[in-house]
Amino acid sequence: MSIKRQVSRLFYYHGILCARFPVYILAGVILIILFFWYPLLTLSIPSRSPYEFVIDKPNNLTGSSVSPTRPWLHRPAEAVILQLLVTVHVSKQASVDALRAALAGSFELHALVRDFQHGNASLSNLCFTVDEATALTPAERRQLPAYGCLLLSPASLWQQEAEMFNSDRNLLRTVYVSPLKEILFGMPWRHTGVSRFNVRSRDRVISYCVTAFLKNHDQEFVDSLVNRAAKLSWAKHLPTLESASLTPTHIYFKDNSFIVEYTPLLVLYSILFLYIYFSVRKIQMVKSKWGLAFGACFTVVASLLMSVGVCMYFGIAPSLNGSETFPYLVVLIGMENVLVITKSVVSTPVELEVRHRVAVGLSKEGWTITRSLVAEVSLLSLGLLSFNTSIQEFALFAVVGLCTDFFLQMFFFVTILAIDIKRMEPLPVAKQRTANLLQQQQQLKQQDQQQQKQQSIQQVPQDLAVTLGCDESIEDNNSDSKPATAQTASDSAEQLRKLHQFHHMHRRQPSDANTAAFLMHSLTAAATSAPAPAVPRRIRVLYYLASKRLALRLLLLVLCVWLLQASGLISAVSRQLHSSLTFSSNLSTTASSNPGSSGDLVEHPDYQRYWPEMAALHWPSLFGHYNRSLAGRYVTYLGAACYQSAAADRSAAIDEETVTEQPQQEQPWWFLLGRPAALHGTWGLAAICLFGVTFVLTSTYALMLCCQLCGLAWLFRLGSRAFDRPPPLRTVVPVVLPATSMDVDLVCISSLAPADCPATRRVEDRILAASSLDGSVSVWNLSGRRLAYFDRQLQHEGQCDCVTSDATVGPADGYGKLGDGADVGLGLRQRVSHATSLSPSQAASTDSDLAAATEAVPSNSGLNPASPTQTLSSSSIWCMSLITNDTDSRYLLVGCSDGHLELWDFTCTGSAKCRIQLSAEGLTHLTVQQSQLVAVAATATGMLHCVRLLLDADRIEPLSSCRASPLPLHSMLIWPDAGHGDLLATAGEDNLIRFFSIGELCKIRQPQQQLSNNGAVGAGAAAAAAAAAAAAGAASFCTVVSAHAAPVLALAAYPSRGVLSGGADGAVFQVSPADDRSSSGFRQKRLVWQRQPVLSVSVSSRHAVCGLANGQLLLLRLCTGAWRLLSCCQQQQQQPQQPLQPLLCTWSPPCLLPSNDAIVTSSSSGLNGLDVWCLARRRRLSRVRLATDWIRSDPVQPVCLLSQESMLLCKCGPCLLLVPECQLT
Amino acid sequence: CALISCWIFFASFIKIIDMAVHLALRVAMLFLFGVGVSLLINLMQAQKNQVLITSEMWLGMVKSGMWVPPACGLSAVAIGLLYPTVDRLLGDPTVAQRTDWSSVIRCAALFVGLNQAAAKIDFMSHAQLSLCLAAMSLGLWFYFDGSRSGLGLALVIALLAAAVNQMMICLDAYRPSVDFVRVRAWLPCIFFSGSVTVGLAGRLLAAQANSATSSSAAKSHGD
Repeated sequence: MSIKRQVSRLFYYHGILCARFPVYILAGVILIILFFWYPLLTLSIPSRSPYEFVIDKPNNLTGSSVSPTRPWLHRPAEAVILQLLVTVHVSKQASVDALRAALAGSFELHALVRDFQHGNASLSNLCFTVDEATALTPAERRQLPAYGCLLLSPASLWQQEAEMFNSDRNLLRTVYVSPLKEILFGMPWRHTGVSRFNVRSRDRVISYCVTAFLKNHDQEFVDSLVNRAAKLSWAKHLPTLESASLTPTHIYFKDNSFIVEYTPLLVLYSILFLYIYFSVRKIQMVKSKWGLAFGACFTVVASLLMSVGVCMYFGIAPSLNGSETFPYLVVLIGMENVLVITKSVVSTPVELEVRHRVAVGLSKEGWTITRSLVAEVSLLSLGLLSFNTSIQEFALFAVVGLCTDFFLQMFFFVTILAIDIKRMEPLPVAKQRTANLLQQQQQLKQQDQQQQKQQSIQQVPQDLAVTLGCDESIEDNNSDSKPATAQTASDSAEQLRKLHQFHHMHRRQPSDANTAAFLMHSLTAAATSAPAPAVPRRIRVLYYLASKRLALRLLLLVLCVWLLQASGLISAVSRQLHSSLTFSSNLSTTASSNPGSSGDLVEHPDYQRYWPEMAALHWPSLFGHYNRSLAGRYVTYLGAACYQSAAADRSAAIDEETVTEQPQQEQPWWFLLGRPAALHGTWGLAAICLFGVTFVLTSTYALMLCCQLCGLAWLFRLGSRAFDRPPPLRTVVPVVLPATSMDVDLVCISSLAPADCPATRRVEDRILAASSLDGSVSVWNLSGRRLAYFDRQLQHEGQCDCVTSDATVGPADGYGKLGDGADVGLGLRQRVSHATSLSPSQAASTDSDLAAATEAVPSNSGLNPASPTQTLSSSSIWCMSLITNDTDSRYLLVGCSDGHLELWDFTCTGSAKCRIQLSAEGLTHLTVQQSQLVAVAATATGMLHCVRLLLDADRIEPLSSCRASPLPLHSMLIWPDAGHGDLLATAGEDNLIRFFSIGELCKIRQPQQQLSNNGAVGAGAAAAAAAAAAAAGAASFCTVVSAHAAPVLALAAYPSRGVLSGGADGAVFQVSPADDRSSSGFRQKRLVWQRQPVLSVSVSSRHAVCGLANGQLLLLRLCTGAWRLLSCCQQQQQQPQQPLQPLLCTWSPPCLLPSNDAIVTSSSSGLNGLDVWCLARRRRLSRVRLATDWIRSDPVQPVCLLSQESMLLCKCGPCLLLVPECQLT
Repeated sequence: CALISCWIFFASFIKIIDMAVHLALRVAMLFLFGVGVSLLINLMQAQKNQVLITSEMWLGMVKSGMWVPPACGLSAVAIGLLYPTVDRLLGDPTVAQRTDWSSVIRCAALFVGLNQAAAKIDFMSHAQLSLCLAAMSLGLWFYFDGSRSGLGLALVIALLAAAVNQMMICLDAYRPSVDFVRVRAWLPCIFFSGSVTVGLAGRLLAAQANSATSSSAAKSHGD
């Protein structure tokens, strides 16, 4: 499987997961968000307004040489800042906590500076004095000096009290929770070397500063202070840096005008809001636009905050100006994924379940999202290679933000989208209203039809056709015979208006607009294969040049060479590599080398690199804490005097009892997962990014895989092992053959033309006929052209050839019967079972009641081909068959509910040729042996009537009739047996399977007593007599196989081998001709025995499938001449268990199936489509949604596979559908 | 017959007027976009005290730097009209189809960010500045445009603009106030990404104008 499909499959499962447990997932996500937001509490926002500062390095400190460009030098400096930078080297052998050992010296140094006196000058009268800090919490206020000298050091964290420091069990926490830590340490946090992870396996360097703020500059005092500090027992002044260290710098904080300062920011934020507006505007077709828009914004903002939190967990505090970088980060991360997901999900078909909609929508876009995420992360990771700290930091935050944004999109936004879609589900009340409206409409239409009954034959109900959106196909046929009555038009217009009103009441767009986007994907593939238009020559020349890409390559080459050459990237990389190899701690990128130093001499963080950040961010905010502004003023930075100490030497000096039990619990729990590398510097950042991306992707994949492996059946409830995976849903546009006004009842299709007649093997010559519940019949050829349409009610009025019609019963009665008759809407099996629920005599009487409610059947009419009947129009079609042995004339044989057999010719005239009454009961089964033109019709009471069709004379000649069974038949088929001619197999309510030889069946001269069955009176006696007669004559032409213990419900023949039968007892038998035909004739073998009644059996060359009453499918496979039970598959469990009508198809070679057998059933997931099950792979191969414009969603039932035309014929409501076979798999 | 011909003339006249109105709208929007971007960039650079154009002008024609925004606007119009034309000539109008206003705004925001990075961030050397900006510009092109014609056009425009700039310096047309080496380092990249942005907007405007005229034409035809 390609990675693309795997990714989209993962997204599918993820969508199902999110839509199934929205509450749990939301709760978990919010917990995770809060967890990652927690470090933000300690985030110090250094400066709320951007300060611009100008650096000036005067030759003369006194300020006498005031240049005209520096007018601000006239005034004295606001403060003079001196830093004493202490670097503590902690060797890896040090047994005590590094931080404690390092910071212990700060107390001593702080006290030294505070109490220092040089001559008559002490710090107390030279220093910059402050009042109490305001606008801080009391805990923070205690850490800043108040009413005295402004002197800062890490010791201020413990109010310069060594006892408090020693009794502090959790130094790291104290340091980390303080928002003032960077001010107190005197340097940006990443330079201090303090990290939350105690990596003891290597040497560490911890740095801090003692920062003294002086009123004015006294060089002598400063020098003596610096020298005095070097005399500390542990300190080791670095003489090489002394001269360079104290070069004073003036830092001027510009008092920018409001416009210059804030206009770019305003423009930026207006652009940001425009972007958000234009993005969020695209969220459409959801229940709550505002809610989802808020969700999208929250996703972005929360992911950014989470990224800051994640970085702070790893010890990287943001140093960029947040208000400036925030819009860029938002724009960079973007809301595209959110919009794409929303669009994809809302454009899935609304008939699907919510979780399947979410899953399908996600899986369609999963690959795109993943690809763009990877592309963005790689592009931004390139930013880490730029050797500029600001860009690196920005890129780092952006990369982590992308990852967290992806996480939030997948878990937060998808979940709220699923909740929104769930809220948008149409109410069942609305569905009910649609159904009611449609029913009403049909009733109205029937009344209309009664009124316009006198009109043209080929009248097609326009109103419903219009509402079904298929009026074009009908208009071809009957553009000349449009309805004329104004009332009909107004009625249908009224109905249409109601329907439209109903649709407008619903907030959603009509479904065709919905599905259009959904169809795009499947249709674009076909569209791209369109032939290319003719291209002018110059364009071709351009294309040729473009295909060679000479210019582009040249330009790119030049660009690359220029960039490499200009930037010296190679030298920079090599320098970086060299420095990282030689000094692994990688503390400072451009550390000043110390050639003469011994091994214990460590490098300092270069204050020349960090002080601008302090000046820009921290010092103004420090002055702000004391309610002073530096705007328009300047400070003088004297630099940092560097000292060095080795904490390993001092570790013994520190009181041991406090440090012996240095707790391991300071380390976060994920420390156990592994030992993180040094997290500072370029390569550390790159490592974090790579780690983050890999971690997110792999953990997501692993989670999904676990779900898939362990709890799939439980989690996704997709049934038993073999058929549990939801296959991809595909949408197919079928050819719609709009049949009639009411639902299609029976469909029959002409058999294949003989092979020796190639002219008839065209698609157009294969025809199919469909009858609808109101008795009308439509005939098409397979190219979708309607050949004929009969409305039998109208036909019988005047155009029946052989029947002298003097109908006395008005068609209004017939329609009344249709409207409220209970039997009309029933299928064939229900019809039979309705009959079988009564006793045989009752069945006969009921049936005759039903068929002839108003008629009195003439006693002698059964064999009279031209007998006049009275209630022609009240009968409905119960069975039919097509006869096409001749290309010129095609006939349709129809068995009716009143026992009539009708022969229709639809070649040119479309008229009923002949009509005879075979019995008083309705004809339930009809088979035609095409070669001999013999038809056998079975009645509901088990009689078989054999007729010969004289097509030339347009006549039906009754040959014989006999009783096959005293009880109704359930199935009848002609089994082409090579040895003995065609056999007729019947299976019925009497638990028996009978085989008749057709040739001998025709020769029986039937006894006359069956005619007495016509009347309701004495039907029981007559049936008994008929049974006796049948039993007497059975020996000659009938073979009875008694296999089942319950009524036999289904029969299926497989050529030259036998018959499979399925019974209500749950058994499936194989009945095949015995080897010695003389004795028993047939032998039977039970294949399956289970509890559920077998409702249908379908056989192909290699497989058989049985549909059970609870909706299960039973698969059998023919192995070396014997059937083996392959498996039993169950469709989705939460569906109402309704029996399926499976259709077993042997696919033609173009289908990419290893074994060509597949099953097609109605869709089990409640959508308007089909399921295709592959037998070889033992799973559901695909789900097919048929894209039609139904107003109501009737289930689609597969009827048969037209293997030569590669079409699957289905019926759905009032229409027939032709689905191209290749689109199903 | 006369009526029909008159009607045809009138319809074509209406169509021409319609197209002209759309074209004028496009030109106006592009011009405004260029002017605004140039003002914004100047403001950003002013924060850094590196005003691109100060005073001394060529032959004393214009005494102030106020000719820069109109020039930027005109070049934006030219670029914004050039991109769709080149697309049409090369037969690759796919970029406009997958572009919408939100992505144009996104691109513009990132372009502004690029300028801000060039203006605010202290780089170690001009080479590093140039490299970073070039990489970011290429990333901008790759993410938003992605078409070869766009890349070629942007490169050509950037080189051309840099050459014109250099020529004006050589001809002593104007004298940059400070540190022109730095300006020279980032100017081509800014031109490159700016032309990508303007090209994106121009393509989208052209596509919308096309769809508007075609729909109105269809409507008039239907009438």
